[in-house]
Amino acid sequence: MVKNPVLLIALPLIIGFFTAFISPFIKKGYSIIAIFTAAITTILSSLLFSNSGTDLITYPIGGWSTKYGIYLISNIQISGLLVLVNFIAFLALIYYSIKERDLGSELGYSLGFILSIAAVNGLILTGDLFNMFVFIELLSIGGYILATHKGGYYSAFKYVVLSSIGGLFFLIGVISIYNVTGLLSLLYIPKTESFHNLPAIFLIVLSVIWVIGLSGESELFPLNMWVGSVYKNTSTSAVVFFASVLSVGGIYAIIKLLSLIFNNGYAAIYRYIYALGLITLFIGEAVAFKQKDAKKMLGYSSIAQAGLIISLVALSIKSSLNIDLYSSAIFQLINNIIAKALVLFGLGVIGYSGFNKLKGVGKERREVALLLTIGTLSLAGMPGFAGFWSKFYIVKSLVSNGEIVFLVVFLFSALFEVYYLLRLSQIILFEPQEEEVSLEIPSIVEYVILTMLAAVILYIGFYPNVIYNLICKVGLIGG
Amino acid sequence: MAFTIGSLIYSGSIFSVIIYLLTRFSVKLGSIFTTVLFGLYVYAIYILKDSVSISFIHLPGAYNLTFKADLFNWPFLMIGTIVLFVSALFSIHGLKSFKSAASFNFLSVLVGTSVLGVFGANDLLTLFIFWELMTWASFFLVSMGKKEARSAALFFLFMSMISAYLMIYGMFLVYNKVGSFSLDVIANNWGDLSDIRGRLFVLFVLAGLIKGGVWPVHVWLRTTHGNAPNIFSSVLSGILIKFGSFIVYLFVVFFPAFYLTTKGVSSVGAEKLSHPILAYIGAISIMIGTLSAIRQNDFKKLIAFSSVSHAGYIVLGIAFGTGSAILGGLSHIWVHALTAAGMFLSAAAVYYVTGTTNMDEMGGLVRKMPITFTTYLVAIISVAGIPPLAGFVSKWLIYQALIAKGNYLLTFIAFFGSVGSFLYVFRPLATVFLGQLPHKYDSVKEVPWSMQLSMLIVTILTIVFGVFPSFMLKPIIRIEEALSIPTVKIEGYSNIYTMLTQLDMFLVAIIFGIGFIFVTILFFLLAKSTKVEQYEQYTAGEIVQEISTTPEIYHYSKNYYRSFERVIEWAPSLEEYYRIAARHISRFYDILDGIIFKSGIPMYVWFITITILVLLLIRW
Amino acid sequence: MVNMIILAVVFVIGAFIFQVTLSGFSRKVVARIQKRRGPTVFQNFYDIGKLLFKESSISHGFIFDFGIWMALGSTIATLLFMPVGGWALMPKYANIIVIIYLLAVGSLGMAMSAVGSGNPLASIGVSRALTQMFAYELPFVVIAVLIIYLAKSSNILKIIEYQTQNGWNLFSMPIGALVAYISLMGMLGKKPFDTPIAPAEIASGPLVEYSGKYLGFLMIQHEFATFIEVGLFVHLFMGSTSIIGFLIKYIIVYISAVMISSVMARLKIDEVVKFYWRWPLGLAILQAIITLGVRF
Repeated sequence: MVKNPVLLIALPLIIGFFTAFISPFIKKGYSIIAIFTAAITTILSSLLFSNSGTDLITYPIGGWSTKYGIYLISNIQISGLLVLVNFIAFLALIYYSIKERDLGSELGYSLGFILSIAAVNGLILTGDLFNMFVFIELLSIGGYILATHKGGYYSAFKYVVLSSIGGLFFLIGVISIYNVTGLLSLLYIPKTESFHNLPAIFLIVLSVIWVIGLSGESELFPLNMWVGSVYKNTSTSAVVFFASVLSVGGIYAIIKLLSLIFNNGYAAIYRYIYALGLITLFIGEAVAFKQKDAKKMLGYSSIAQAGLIISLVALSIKSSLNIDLYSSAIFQLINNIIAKALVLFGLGVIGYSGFNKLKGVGKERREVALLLTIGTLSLAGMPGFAGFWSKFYIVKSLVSNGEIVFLVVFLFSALFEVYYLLRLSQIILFEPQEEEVSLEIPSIVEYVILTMLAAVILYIGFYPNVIYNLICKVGLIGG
Repeated sequence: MAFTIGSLIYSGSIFSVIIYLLTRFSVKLGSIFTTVLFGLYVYAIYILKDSVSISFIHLPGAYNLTFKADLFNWPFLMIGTIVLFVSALFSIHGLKSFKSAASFNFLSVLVGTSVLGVFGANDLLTLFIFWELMTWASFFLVSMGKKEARSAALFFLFMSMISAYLMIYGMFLVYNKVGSFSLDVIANNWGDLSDIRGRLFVLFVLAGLIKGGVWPVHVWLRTTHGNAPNIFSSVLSGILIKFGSFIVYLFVVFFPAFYLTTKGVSSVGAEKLSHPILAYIGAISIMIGTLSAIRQNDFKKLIAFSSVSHAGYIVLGIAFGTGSAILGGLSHIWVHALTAAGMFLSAAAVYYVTGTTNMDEMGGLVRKMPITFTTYLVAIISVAGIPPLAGFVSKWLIYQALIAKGNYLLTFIAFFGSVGSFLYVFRPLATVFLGQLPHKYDSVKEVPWSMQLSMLIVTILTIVFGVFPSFMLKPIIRIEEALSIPTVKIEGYSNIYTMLTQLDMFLVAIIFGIGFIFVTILFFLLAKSTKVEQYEQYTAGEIVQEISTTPEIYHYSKNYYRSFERVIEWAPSLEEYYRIAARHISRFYDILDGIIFKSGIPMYVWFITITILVLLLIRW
Repeated sequence: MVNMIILAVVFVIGAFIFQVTLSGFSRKVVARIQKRRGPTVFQNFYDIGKLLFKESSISHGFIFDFGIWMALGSTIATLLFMPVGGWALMPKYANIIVIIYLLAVGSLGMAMSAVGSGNPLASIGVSRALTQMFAYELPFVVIAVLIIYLAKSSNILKIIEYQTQNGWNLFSMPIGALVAYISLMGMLGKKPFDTPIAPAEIASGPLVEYSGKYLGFLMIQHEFATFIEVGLFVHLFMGSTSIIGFLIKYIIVYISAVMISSVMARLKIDEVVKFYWRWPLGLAILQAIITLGVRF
């Protein structure tokens, strides 16, 4: 029973409701409950991971057969992502309980975190379209709550508008496919007769609708306008959640849709999604380049990375699954999760994110600045750090598949990415201080969080194939 | 005991952390350790002179990093480690009041390992990894400089990343074709790469030109070298831009010639190896570098443009294709490394003492800093290509090659750079070292011993390689012979035979010495001269009261070459065009931001509506 | 070995006597042009002697002295490489490029010493001198390249040999000879190219602070440099192996240069640069195209 991944979803939900239940009686300590939840999910996902292989295993729920009922899917890649995502959630919640407990209602935000964990786990695990819709909505609700942390109400409002539209689109897509095939199961829809007979234009529109639907969560075009303001105005733990937890759910959901449903190489589809992704990449990096606030800058960087990953996946399903492209995308996703979390935590520890306030902070907070720099160097793809290898594998797969246009767009955008990331480090470390800022002394726990993430980055930087061969080189339909 | 490149890099990276901690404790101690480490590198490379050494570092779970040191990259390794050693020696005292000395030393050691890693790489992946390592380590090092250093560092980063990304594309093109990154495999299968050779050439050579600071992609040199911390400027200009020349050498000379040799071609002539367009790019770089250097008022920016000009010589030599030209181009790498180190170290010494590099604020420093002056004098004599120093040898070889082919246009440009360099190198000599010493510098002294020693080493090496050029030329002649390129003959230590004539540098030095000694003796035989104060000057009958109190009013240093500048004033600045392009891109991105993200909810609704309508249109 | 030394000494002294006499003679020529008598032919000897044996001279420091040693020392060294007619002290090493560059050492020494005096007039003069060198070297070099290429050697003796077989370069490339002649006038610092000295404008420029033995040394250096430069021109364009022929041609070239310069006014330094880079350089390229065709 412990090995069944449904606990990863059920447990946070139960704990969440239970907490709400007992809230009139207990006034404090909610963040501890949240930490506890994240810890359990991390442990559970590690157990799942250790028992996973490259084959996709289905876990039916409630005894229904997987053709008609709700079920979960997992393999070593999915469980690996789960471990990572839940662990980052765990770290963020520890951070929340140390530093940001007083930023609002402790009950409300703890519940928001717990709900988000449940939703992300659900999105990553689910094998069923309607279930996916439910979790998208749940994720949005969690996102609404988290976006208002520290008072970012207008940005949360933008998020509300955009993700509700997204949800609507997704539902339209689900309804259409149900209409045609009578099924909602990701694994079985592509096997039905009616699906095969669908005209290409229908599939194109369908795929685009789903991508648009999920674009709110995964920070792709066209529903990602909320990212900049939300990232800037919310708290550190919440922004880490957005960057490294929530968006992963959305991105992986798209990946699942594309790989599982459109897995027979519908060449027409990939063109639109690929174009969408490349536009996202280019515009994301371009706009990030102009930002004067570090968190906003990283938000746009997340947008660009999401575009990159989705483009790569779309390319990889062009004909039968191209494992090189696919695995480089997953690797990029993983490196991104860790490095973004590190940089965002670092900014949180410093306490400011505007460039004018960050100038010269590195002189007083040298260790934090250096750890943060490890994060930026990894995002920039410098050797010695994890990001180098993901860029390496991306270029390798692109060149060997002759995708030169993609390569040019990617490298051109990467020029600006390296520029603004290292500019951030430079501002923190070398600029002379201009404004009076008061810095809190970081606690040991914060240092531990930063060091842990930095250590993982360095480890992957020197031994990349451990993660790469284990987790990334696994396609969802057995490679 | 023989060291391998792999072991040197491995130990270097471990030592970098130790040196960081040591420097936190005591700057001198940390720098001494760095100097010892780099001295070890010099020794290790030196004893590898006639042997082949292959090594690797195993990264479990990833590709192996393979290294080699053989006759084909020995000259690069040797001069690289010498420059590193000299700079480290200088930094023992030179880092005295530097704010982030610990990080400086740490990053310098990383840069040192990258020098070994790039020149000593046995496969393109290793080369690329260490190239990138050098890029980010240099970025942080340059950022530690003056106020404008930070934007200069970003510009440097951007250009370096362009060259890196060009290389990574080329790398994978090669990998696709031959299935390996290994340089040996590429060299042996160069023929199979014929359909992508054009693309490879453009990618790698362009990457090399950007890194090497050749026109038209030289614009980052001025601000980067000009604003970097002084000691690091000597490393930047001395060896790091030679990474670019190394790449050009690999793809223009090494791979084609090696392949032809393995195919049994006994003489790889100029037809196979010459690239006229590239040679002309080098030539234009010589001209632009020289003319821009004449206009500079800042000591270090002047030397930066001089580096542009000399990068042009190197490319011209390599691209011209004949044996003498390649020999001249490659030996010019040694020459320029030493002269750039010499000039930047003397600039650093001047800065250490006066706190500025603005030439019109100084003067007369020769009285206080004779060793610095000597280093600078020897460096500029070499830069101008005057015998009997090293600069003459490499330039002379290039001239021989150009004249022998009757290419008067390129010879003209090569001479242009040489004669023009008299102008710009003389300016710091006249404005900084000679002339009137301002009273505010009355109490300055010569720099501490480690800095003097380091400058002396550079000076002595420049003289030795000039008078006995075989030390510099023989390793490169060996390369040419191994690549079946018809080359020049060298007899003894200093007798060079080319197709046009012969030259004995030692004899030239001796004759020069004889003349000098004769005149000196005659001088002292005549009546003794009276020494006067610096303010006792001919003032055309006017009584200039202020001469003794503010000697600087009588010092001619502002706009030293104003009359010449008037002749070339009309020329547009390439840097300005780059800046304009950058501004346009930036503005475009702002517009994107404005349209898409800054607009509020109403705009989003518009977008969504449009999307829905488009989808409906397609569906029906 | 001893032979060589004796020959060298004889050569140097011979060159000295020849050139100083000739320059004294040229003063007479200029005087006649200006409707005066002029000093005696040996006046320059007297001048140099007086200067050298003066009891007092002013020194502005070590560099001031060192530069003079470097200037005269390297000029004498360059002289030792110069061939005369078909004879040379070191025939295998009479390399034209080496000679051109060694002359530069002399200029550098003088420049260093001049600026080391601390007088801004000297500095101005030196900056002009360097600019002028930049200006006149370039057309000269283009022509020199042509000659070296045709003679297949940069050894002056081989160039002379080539001319004995193919006739004087003066006739086979007259435009080139004209260009080289104009460059020669710049090298010698004769009007209209005496901007670096500019007696009334910047008080003799680099020479402003020299007196006594220093000025004497500089005069000697100037004479030797003239010998080398004019000699170079003669060898390049009218080369033949007879020594007497060399001396006669030398006299003709030198006196004609003096005569031309005596009737010209001085140019400004930017005018010098613009002139050299427009007309002589253009003509030199034209000559190159005529002789060798368009070569890329």
